[in-house]
Amino acid sequence: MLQTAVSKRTETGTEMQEDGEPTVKHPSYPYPVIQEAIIEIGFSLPPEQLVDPQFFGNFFVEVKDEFPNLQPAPIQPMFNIQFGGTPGAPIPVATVMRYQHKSSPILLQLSNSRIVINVLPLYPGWETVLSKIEYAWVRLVKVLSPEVVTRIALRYINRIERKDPGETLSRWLNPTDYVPKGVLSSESGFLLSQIRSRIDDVNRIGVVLSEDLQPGSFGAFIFDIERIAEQAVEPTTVSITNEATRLHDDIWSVFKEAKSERLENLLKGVPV
Amino acid sequence: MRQPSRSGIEAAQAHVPKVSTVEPYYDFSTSHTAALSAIRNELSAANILGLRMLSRPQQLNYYLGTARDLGEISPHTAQFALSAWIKLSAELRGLLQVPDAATGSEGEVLYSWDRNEHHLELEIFANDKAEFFYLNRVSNETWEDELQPTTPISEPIAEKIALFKLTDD
Repeated sequence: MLQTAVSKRTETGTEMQEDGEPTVKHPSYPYPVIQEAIIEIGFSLPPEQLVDPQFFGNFFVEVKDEFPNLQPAPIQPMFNIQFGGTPGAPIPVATVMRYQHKSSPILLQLSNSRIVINVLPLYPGWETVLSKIEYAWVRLVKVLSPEVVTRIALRYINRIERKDPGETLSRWLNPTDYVPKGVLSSESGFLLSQIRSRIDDVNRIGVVLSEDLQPGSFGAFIFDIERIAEQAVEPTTVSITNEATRLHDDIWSVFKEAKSERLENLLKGVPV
Repeated sequence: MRQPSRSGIEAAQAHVPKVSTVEPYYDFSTSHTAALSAIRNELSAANILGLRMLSRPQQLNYYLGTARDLGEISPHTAQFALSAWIKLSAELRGLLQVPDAATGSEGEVLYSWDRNEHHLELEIFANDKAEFFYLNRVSNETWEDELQPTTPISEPIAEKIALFKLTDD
């Protein structure tokens, strides 16, 4: 069965194991291979706040001690292409503002429908990420009044450098429901597996295995796991962090099930 | 209903290396996600430092593992050398430049850092000793110290390794 490693939401919002113990414990590795972790919280606003761009500045006032670098995320203009070669009217594009942390590789990106937290290397661990989610949401609700959280999504992109040109992914990952055996033995240049699964009406999971072929190196394997839940969640910090933790647990389960002993050693800082 | 405007393979290949939004595959046809796609590309460039922090330490790990497998250094020295790197790197929150590494005829490992006039070496011996040597090529200042595996990094060592902190340049 495909969805062995993932959970559905329980009534309490917290998945329990059979013995009644709460969710997964995550080890903290000295050398994580997470290239980027992305946490997205989608929300709906009352109509009057949708057209009020002042919230970007108001949010900056709230976060500037920690995130003092503010810049608009560059957006490429887009046009409707019409027959006859004349560009149509520009398509309205949501403005996105980016707030960069003063000393940590963490970014917040805010629009009028979502806030995204980007965590770049070195990954500081889930507890720290969770604290940033709390931090961002507490401040967001000071300047906006989300009626409901519509979507929470987490994505973890792992990057493992190839040790030698002939190396296959089978040295790093074991086959699982989400890691097909066939792709593990693939040589460089044609390696791709993409599994996307709709678990139920609101839960989705996606796992991509691929490679990043950089000139001058042997390239790297990419193990990209994302977990999405599109459902109404109460716009409180507790509800959001519980839901994010549930999705994170699922991502961890997919990763844990697939990682080989060799990858475990790399994460622990043992020469491989 | 949202439909992807590209094939799954193209979409996946396009997004794979360095990306920054959660939903790369699903709705390329909507303006909002296409806009976020532009952000993704832009952030990819910003993430070059992150890539350096991730890929070169892995290569140092592999180098030590290979040297151990070839018998150039003992398993113990390989682990000691990697642990020393992790300890120094943690002092700068992962932002220490990965050193050039070499093995010596006595089963030792030599790390070296160079930036402008600053030259720093850490020699890791087979007997669990690790010694720093610093040279300022302009002033000819030199400095030596020992890295203690079980105690926190001393202030003089912290000052010296800070000379080799990674930047966005």
